[in-house]
Amino acid sequence: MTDMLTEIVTFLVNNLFSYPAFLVGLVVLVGLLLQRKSFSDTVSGTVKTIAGFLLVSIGAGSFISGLLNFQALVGAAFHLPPVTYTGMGLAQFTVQFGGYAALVMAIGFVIHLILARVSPYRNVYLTGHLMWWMSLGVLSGIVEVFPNMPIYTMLIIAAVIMAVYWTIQPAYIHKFMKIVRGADDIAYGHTSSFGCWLSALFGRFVGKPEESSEKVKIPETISFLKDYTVGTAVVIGIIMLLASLAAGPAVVQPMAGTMNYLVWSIYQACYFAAGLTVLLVGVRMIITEIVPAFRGISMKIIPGARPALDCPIIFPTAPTAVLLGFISSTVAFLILMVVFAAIKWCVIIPPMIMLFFPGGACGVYGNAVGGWKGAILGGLINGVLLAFGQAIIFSLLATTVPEMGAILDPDYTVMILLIVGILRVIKGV
Amino acid sequence: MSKTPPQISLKIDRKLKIVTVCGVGMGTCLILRMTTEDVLKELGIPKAARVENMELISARGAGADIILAQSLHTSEMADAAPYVIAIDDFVSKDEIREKLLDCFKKAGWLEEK
Repeated sequence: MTDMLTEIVTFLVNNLFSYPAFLVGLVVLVGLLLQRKSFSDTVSGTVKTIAGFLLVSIGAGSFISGLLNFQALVGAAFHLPPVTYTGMGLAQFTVQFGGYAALVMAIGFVIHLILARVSPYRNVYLTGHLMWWMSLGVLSGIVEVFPNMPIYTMLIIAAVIMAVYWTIQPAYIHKFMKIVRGADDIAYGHTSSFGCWLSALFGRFVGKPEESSEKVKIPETISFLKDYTVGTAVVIGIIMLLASLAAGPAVVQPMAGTMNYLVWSIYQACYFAAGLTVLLVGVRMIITEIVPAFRGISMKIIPGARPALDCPIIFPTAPTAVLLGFISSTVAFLILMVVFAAIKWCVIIPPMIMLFFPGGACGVYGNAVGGWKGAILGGLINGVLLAFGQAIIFSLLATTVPEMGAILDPDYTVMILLIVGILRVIKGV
Repeated sequence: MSKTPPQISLKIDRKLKIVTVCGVGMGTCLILRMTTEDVLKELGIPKAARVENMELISARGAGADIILAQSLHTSEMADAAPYVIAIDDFVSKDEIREKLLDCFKKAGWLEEK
C-alpha cells in the first residue's frame, strides 16, 4: 500500500511537478475551481496557461536566432569578432525557470499585499506580464551567481525581492504620477519607472509645462510603427540591410546560404519580429488568468487600494509626448548602437517595444514638467538607459541568459545589477 | 458610482464579442477587459458578451462586434469591427458604461428593463 503511494508520488514529482509549466497549470486549475468558474472557462484557462509557457520557449528560440544573426551581421559591418553565447540561453532558461517565475509571482504577490496593507503606500501592483518577466530576470541574476542554490531558497529570495520592488516602485514615482494624471486614483506600475523618474526630475530644466507637447504636430506616417511586430521588422530590417551592404556579399553570403544575402537580411528581420510576437502571445496567455485572480484577491484584502497599472494608462494624457519620447529614444539608441560597435564594445539591438513604451512613458513624464522639450529629453534618457543596460546585461548574465539584455526595461537593469552585485559580495565573503 | 446603473438586456440571439486592444495586448487592455466585465455585470448582462484582450494584429482578425481601445489606436482599428470605441480612462466604469450603452442603442440591441 505504502509502496503504491510512494510510486504515485514519485510519478507525480517526476512527470508533472518537474515540469514547471504543468505545475503552474495545476495552480491555475485550483484557482479557477476555487472561483467556481464554469467547466469551459476552467478547461480553457488551464490549457491556455500551459500552452502559453510552451509558446514562450518556442518564440524565444526564433527570437534568439534572429538576435544572433543581427549581432553577427552588424558586427561584421564594424569588423567585430562574432558573438558566441555559452549560457543555457533564453529558450532553455524559460523551459526550466519560466514556471518558477510564475511561482515567484504568486508568493511575491502575497508578500506584496501584506506590505501594501501595513505600509502607508496602499498601491497594489497589477502589471502581470512585467511581474512575470522581472521575476524571471531576478531568477537569472541569482542563478548567475549561485547556480546550485536549492530551488526553494531561490524562490523565497526572489519573491521577497519582487514584493519589495512592487511595493516601492509605485510609491517612489507617485509624486510625479499625480502631476501626470492630475488625480490620485491610480498608481504607476511599470518597469520604466527609473527612466520616468529621471525624466520628471530633469525635464523642468529644459522647458516649461505650458509649452505642452500637445501643441506640436507630428506627421501621421510614422504611426504604423506603433504596432510592435511591424515596427520591429521595419527598423531591424533597415539596419540589417544597411549592415549587409556595408559588410558586403563576401562576408554575408555564407551566412545566408542559398538565399540572396540582401533578401536574407530582410527575411531575418521578419523572422526576429515573428519570434518576438510568438514570445509575447505566450506571455499573454500565461498572465490572462493570473491577473484577474490577483485583482480579485487584492480587492478583498485591501479595499480601496490604488491599483498600480501598466504605462499606457498615462498615454491619453499626452499622445504626442508618447511619439516624441519614442522617436528621441530610438534616435539616442541608434546613435549609441553605432558608437558601441565602432569602439568595438558590443552589438546592441534596438528593442522596439522598450523604445516605444518606456520611451513614450518617459516622454509623458518629461512633458508634464518640461513641455515638449521635456518629452524629448525623457525619450533620450530612456534610449541611453536601454543602450547601456543592454550592453551591461549581455556581459553580466553571460553564463545564464545574456539574451535577457535585449528585452529589458530600465528598472530590470538596475535590479539585476544590484542583485548580482550584492550576491557576488556575499559569495566573496 | 453615484447612481445605480440601469438594468438592461440585449435583443440579439448570440453572444457578443467585445475585444479590448492595446499595443502589446496584455497590460492595459487586460485592465480594460476587467473594467468592461464589471460594467456588463452591473448592467445585469454578465453573460451577454465574451470579452477578450488582444494586441493590434490579433484584434484585426478576431471578428469582434465591438472593439474598445485607446484613441491612439482607434484609427488603425477603424475597419476591424462594426463598432470601434475610443476609451480615455481604462478604469472608469462610468465612461465605459456610457459609451457601451450608446453603442448598444446605435446598433439596435438595447432593451431597457
